[in-house]
Amino acid sequence: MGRLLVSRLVSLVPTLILATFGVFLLVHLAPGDPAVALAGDGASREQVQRIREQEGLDRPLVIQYVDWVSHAARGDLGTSITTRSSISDAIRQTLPVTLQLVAGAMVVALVLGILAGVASARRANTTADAAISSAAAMGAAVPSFWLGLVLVSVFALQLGWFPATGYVGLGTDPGLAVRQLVLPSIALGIAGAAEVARQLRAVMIDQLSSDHVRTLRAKGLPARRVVWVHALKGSAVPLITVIGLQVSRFLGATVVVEAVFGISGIGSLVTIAARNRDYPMVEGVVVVLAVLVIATNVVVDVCYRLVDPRIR
Amino acid sequence: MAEVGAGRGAGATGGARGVRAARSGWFRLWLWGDLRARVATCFVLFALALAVLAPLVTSHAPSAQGVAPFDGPSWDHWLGTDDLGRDVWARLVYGARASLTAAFIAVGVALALGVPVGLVSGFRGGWLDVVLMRVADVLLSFPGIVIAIAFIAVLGPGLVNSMTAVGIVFFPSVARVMRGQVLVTKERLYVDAATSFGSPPWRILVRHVLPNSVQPVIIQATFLLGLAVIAEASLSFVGLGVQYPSPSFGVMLQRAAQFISLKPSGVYPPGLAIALTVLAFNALGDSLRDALDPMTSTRRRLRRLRRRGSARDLPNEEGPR
Repeated sequence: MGRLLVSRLVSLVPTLILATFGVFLLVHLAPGDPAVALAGDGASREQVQRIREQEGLDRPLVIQYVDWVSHAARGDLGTSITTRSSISDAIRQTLPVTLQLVAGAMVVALVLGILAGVASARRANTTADAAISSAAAMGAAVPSFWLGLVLVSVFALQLGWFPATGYVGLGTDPGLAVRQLVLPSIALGIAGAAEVARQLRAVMIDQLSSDHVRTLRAKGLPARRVVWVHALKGSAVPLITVIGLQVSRFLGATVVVEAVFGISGIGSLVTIAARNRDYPMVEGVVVVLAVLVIATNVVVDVCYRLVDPRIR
Repeated sequence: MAEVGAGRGAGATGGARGVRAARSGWFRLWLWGDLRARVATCFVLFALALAVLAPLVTSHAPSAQGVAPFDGPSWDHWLGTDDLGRDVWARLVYGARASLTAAFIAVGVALALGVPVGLVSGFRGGWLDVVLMRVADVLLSFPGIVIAIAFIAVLGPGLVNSMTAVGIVFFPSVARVMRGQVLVTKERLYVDAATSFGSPPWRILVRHVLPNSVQPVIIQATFLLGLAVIAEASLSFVGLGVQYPSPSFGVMLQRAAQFISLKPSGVYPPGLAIALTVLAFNALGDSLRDALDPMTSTRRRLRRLRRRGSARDLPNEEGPR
């Protein structure tokens, strides 16, 4: 297992270099001189030149990249152009908020998705199955942020069950924090649940007609145990693949969902930065998200191995 | 010699006419044999007509402010009014114009970049293919909207810029599909034949490989149109796409969200418009795939035929139980 982990991590190095270099190039080949931006309005030519030398912006691009990556690896992503404060600190403050939201969405996606997927696989090609499948198709087509707005309009404003917007840390007020997390998690998680249900239905139908399930049934195992323990375990590998893909989807969709619920997570950070053309901040957020997605892929690979020892 | 040439020319045109007839045959069959395709096509045409004929469909200007904000539906304002008393129906119709334009820009950019890259990558193979597909894989594994935002940070916000960014995000997936099909097409006999006649590679690529490989890309482009509508709405919602006060589905949602406590129902018109447009493009893509790709569609078509009772003699696809 240790060796597997190491080999997976090593094979990720090219991906990581490609991703970071891509972001770096994008931002550094952008129109506009970063030294001028850093110097601010009304800076003299000498001041701009001094900043350019100070920040090392007059060096070759590759040297600048290596320098930036080595700082980034140590947790230093530079300073924001607009707020003049540390980018790493800003990310450190907002990332946990986003990760809580993603975790909430994952709970919704897994619970709803697995229940719906198993239910429709057990009743394959019936009306109930068709109803669940259509609901899943709808869930996948509805944009998550609009779903969020509808949830706010119905459950927060009309019924008053949940707060409409805002965010407090789990540490400050756990009860309120959980209540505030419910609607955004549902908004974000429904599309994932639809995808999980769709995929699980297909694999589960296969599993339920397989020989080993027939044997289990023949020896008199209760149907519930057959489905929830054996067939579900047999469906684990494709299920893990879908779940892994949802992490990337949630990290994207959260950008807009955060705006709906007034949550200041990493999505709000990057949209504000993009509006202000705060290149270093955008660069930092994209790199952190890229690392998160890549890390998810490693976890997924390790899970494959845990679930099914035959894999590599 | 001249006669041979003339004869071949005649045969070729006759063949082409035959092929065209067969093609329009499946097209008609698809359009009229598939209810879902018919409904989706009608909806897309309806939305396009509304967008193009916007000034004829509504007498209100999308930015004309009225005296009664947050009004309910009435004969004068079919869908009520928004926070500044503007007619919601008028804004929706003009918004459809912006949102559909946005979708076509994004998909156009994706096709303009993805088709040539996929074509060359698949046809040439070798290190170029490896590098291009590696880059595509990396781009595809990250959340698209975040990459689009990075590009918007560089290009600046706005309809054209933001949708160019979305097109750039879409392009690797187009390139992948294109490449996959080119790998199949380039092994075909007619490509060998053209090569042995001494056709230069670019000519084979443009005359033979391209037209015979675009089908899956067309299907995919239909799905991408739906995704692009969502992308426009998302980016405009966070202020990076179409800029307020110009109407678009995303801008309308953003505005409705700001005043959601005053008029909770304001989020429905633009939201439903987005959802229906996306569903229509998805349904269109699904049924195009069914019609064009015989492998995945046979079971589905059989089931549909049997349900309609016109295929009682067809073998049972599930087999004996």
